[in-house]
Amino acid sequence: MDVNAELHAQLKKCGVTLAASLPDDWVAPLIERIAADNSMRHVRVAREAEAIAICSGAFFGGVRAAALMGATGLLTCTGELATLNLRHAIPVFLIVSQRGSIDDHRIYQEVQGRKTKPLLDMYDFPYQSIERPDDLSRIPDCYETCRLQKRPFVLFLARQLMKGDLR
Amino acid sequence: MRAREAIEVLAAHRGDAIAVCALGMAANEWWAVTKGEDSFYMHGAMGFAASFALGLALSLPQATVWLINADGSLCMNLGCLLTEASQGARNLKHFVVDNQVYQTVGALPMVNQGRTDYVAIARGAGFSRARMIDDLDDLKRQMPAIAAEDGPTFTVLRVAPETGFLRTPPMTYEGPEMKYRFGRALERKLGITVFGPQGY
Repeated sequence: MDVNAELHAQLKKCGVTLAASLPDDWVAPLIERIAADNSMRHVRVAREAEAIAICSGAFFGGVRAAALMGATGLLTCTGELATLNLRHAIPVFLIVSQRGSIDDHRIYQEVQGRKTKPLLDMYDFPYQSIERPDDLSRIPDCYETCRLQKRPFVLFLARQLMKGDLR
Repeated sequence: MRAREAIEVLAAHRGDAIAVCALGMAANEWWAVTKGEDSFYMHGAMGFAASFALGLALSLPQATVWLINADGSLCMNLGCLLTEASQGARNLKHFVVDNQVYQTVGALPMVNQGRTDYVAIARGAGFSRARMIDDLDDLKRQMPAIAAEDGPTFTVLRVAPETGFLRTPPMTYEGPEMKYRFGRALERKLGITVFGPQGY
């Protein structure tokens, strides 16, 4: 299975027609696949919080959107997630590489690995980790949960899923 | 030119445009003049009204979206200009109320006060239509053409700082009520569906 092709297909199944992104190397192939899809509007941003606000604006246009970024980017926009999305109960669906996991082995990602999920727990933002290709079919349920709960929802993509045995 | 005077001219030429307002002075003044529920008034995420407006404009190509930004908010997220320029949204106009102070917190000076050329920054980001207006009569003369031109456009409204706190009260609703009033206003105005059959 081509994981990025399947991720792309699952987003289309969710009805996503707008994606805003700032790349991490794990999600870069997915971003380029989306960028090449003429049925999705793709917005390259200069800072991850832009993607959050773009998706939030799109919500009011009746458009289903997704924000793609790395775990470091997610940490940079927790203030905006709190003061825009939590404050107004605006759903936003984030697709985030789960950097800093025990199999990542990157010193500059280790804090993200230790602190990102506790931070999300503190905000009570739901999240789901996708570790195996068989779990990709859960993405539409994740998207609907995001809409139902009217909060940021983080779909983490695990290293094993995105990189396999590549180092 | 005072901020209120500039906002009044903008509002008079708004037509059917949906507005997104940066938090603080821009939002409060726009609310005071328009009392419009078809505007989104940021209460947080300082700097990101621009990105919110871009997402709205890209999602609603049939509508016109005006961003009522402010200099403090613009400086929080100058990268928004690159993103806006790259998307080329014809239905998006970016206005910046530039009073060179952080008005809402007591008119403390802006970073790099008096030296920043926002029009040059916007042009450097790729806006072909960018200008600064600092005179009320000039704004009145130019506004019909600005309202009619294709976006993306960038217009700085250089206004005089007020002294101390500007005590224009904010809009009378907030939080989730802001979401639902704005979303329902867009549903009525544009015939779109923002909320599903069960209301979320």
